[in-house]
Amino acid sequence: MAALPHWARPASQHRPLPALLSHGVRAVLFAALPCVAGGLLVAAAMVDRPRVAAGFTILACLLLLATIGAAWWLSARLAESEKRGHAIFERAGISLWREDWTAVGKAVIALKQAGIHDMRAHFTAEPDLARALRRQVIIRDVNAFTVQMMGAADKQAFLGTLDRILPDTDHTFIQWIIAFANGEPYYRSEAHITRPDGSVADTLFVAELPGNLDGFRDIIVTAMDITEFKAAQARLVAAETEIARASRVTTIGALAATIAHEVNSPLSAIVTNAEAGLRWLRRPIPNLIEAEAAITGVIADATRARDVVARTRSFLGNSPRRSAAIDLADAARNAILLVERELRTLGASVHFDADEDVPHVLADPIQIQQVLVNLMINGAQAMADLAQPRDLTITIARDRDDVRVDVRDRGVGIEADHLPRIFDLFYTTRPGGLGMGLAICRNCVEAHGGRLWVNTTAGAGAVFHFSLPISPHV
Amino acid sequence: MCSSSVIAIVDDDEAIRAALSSLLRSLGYEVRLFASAESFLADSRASPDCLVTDIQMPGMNGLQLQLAIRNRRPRLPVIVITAFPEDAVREQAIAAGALHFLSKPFEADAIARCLSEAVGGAR
Repeated sequence: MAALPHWARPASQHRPLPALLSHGVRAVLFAALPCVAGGLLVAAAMVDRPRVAAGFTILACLLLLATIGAAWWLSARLAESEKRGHAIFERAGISLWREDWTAVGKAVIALKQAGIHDMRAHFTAEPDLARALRRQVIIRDVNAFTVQMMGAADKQAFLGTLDRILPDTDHTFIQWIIAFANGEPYYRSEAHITRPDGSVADTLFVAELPGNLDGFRDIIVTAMDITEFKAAQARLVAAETEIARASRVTTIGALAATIAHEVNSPLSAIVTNAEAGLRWLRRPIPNLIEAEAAITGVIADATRARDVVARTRSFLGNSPRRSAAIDLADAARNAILLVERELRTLGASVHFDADEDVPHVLADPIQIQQVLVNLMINGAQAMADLAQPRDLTITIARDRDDVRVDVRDRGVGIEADHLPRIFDLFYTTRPGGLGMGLAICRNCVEAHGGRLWVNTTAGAGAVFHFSLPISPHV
Repeated sequence: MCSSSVIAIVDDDEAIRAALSSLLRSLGYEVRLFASAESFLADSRASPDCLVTDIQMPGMNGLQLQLAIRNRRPRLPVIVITAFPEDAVREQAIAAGALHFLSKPFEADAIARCLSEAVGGAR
C-alpha cells in the first residue's frame, strides 16, 4: 500500500517533534539571516581594509539572497498548503460548512464579563436575544458535496447568515452557544434546516469548537442529511405509540365492560325491586311486608352500586402504577423528542431549561410523559395562529419539597370566563377538541400527590405549572 | 293462586334473584330460584312453565343451559337476561331458541310482556 501523504495520515501517525524542529530551524534561519547580513554590512563599513570589507559585503549579500529565497520557498509552501486544504474541503465526500461564529464568541465573552454564566437560563428566558445572535453567524463557504446533497444550483444558495437556513422552530442554536460557553471541545446536534427549494431537511451537524473564544474566527462544520433516518424513527415512534394506545384502548374497553357489568347488576336489582315494591303497594290490599322487603333490597343494591363506583375510582384514580424514581428533566427531553415533529408542524420553537441535579420524583414515567406531551401540544396549538415567534418554553426547577415544571406559551392566553372550567372533563374552547386532555392531566398529577394549575394573562400567553413531590427514596 | 304459572329464575346474583322473585310474585307468578344452571338441571322437580336465565354465570352459562334444556323440554319458553347485551350473544341466544332477550336493567313492564307472551298472560 502506498504511503499516505502527511495531511491524510491519522493523527497517531504524525511525527510532531521532527516537524516542530524542522519548522523551528526554518523560522530561526528566516529571522536570523537578515540580522547576520545586516551585522556583516555594518562591519564591512567599519573595516578599513578593502578586501575584508568586500568579503563581508559579499557574505551579507549572499545571506540576504538566502533569506529572500527561504521566504519565497515558505510562501510557496504556504500557498500550496492552503490550496491543498481548500481542495480537501471542496472535494470531501461529506458535507462541510465554513462558518464565522466570531459574534457568538464575543457575545459569550461579554456575557461572562457581565457576570452571566448560565447561558441556558439566559437565552431560554430571552429567546429573541438568541435569534439576534443567530443573525450574526455567517456561512462563509460550503463544499461541492453540500451543494449536491441539498439539491442546490450552487453554493451561493447557502452563503450568508445562518438565519437563512435555520427556521424559527429551531431549538439547537442555544445549545451551540452553551457548548461554546462551556468550552466543549466539539459539539453535535440534530437540527432541521430549510433547503434552497424550501423543503425541510433533518441534518446532523458536528464541529470542533475553538479552545479560546478570543480571536478565533471560522469553524468547520460537518453535516449529514438524516431526513430519511428521522422519518423512519418518527414512523417507529408513531407505531409504538399506536400500539400503546391500542393496548390502552383495549384495556379501557375491557375495564369499561367490567364496570358496566358491576354497576348494571345492582342497578337492575334496584329497578326491579322498586317496580316490585310499587306493585305490592298498588294492590287492592297493599302487601306492606313484601313492599318493605323490596325497598330494603333497593337500599342494599344502591349501597352495592356505590361501593362499585368507589372501588373503581380508587383503582383508576388514586394508585398510579409502575411508579419509579424518575428524572423529570429526562422525561421532558423524551416528551420533546416524541412530539418534535408535531410541534414543528405547529411552528413552535421549543426552549428547554432544567436546573442541574433536580431531585427525582416518584411517578409513572409514561403517565408523566403524557402530561408533558399534552401541555406542550396545547401550548403549541394556542400559538398556531400567531405571526410572531411561537416560543414554547419548558423549565424545570426544585420548589421546596417539590419539583416544578412550567410550560409557557406566547399565545392569546385564556379568557377569564373560561379559566374556572378549563380543567373540567369535556370542557373545551378549541373546535374539534374533546375537552379531556387537561382533566386527565390534572387527575394524573393529583394521583401522584402533585398539583396542576395555570397562570394566564389575556393576550400574553399562559403558563401551565405542575409540581410533584420529591421522591423520598433518593 | 294455585293455578299460577311457575317461573324458574336462574341467576348467580342473589340480589337479582331476590328482586325478580319479588317482582314476578307481585305479577302473580309462582317463582323458583336457582343460583346456577347446574342446580336447575339437577332439580328433578323443576318443571316450570317458563325459564328466565342469566347468560354469564360460573360453570355452565345461560347459552349452554338453553341447549341442555332443549333436549328435555323443547317447548319450554326461555327468556334470557344479561348485563352484556352484545349482538353476538343475542344472536346465539335467539338461535338456541330463546323467546326474548332482555338487557339489564330492564323495566317491569318489559318482562311482564315477555312472560305474558310465554305463559299466556299475567295474573
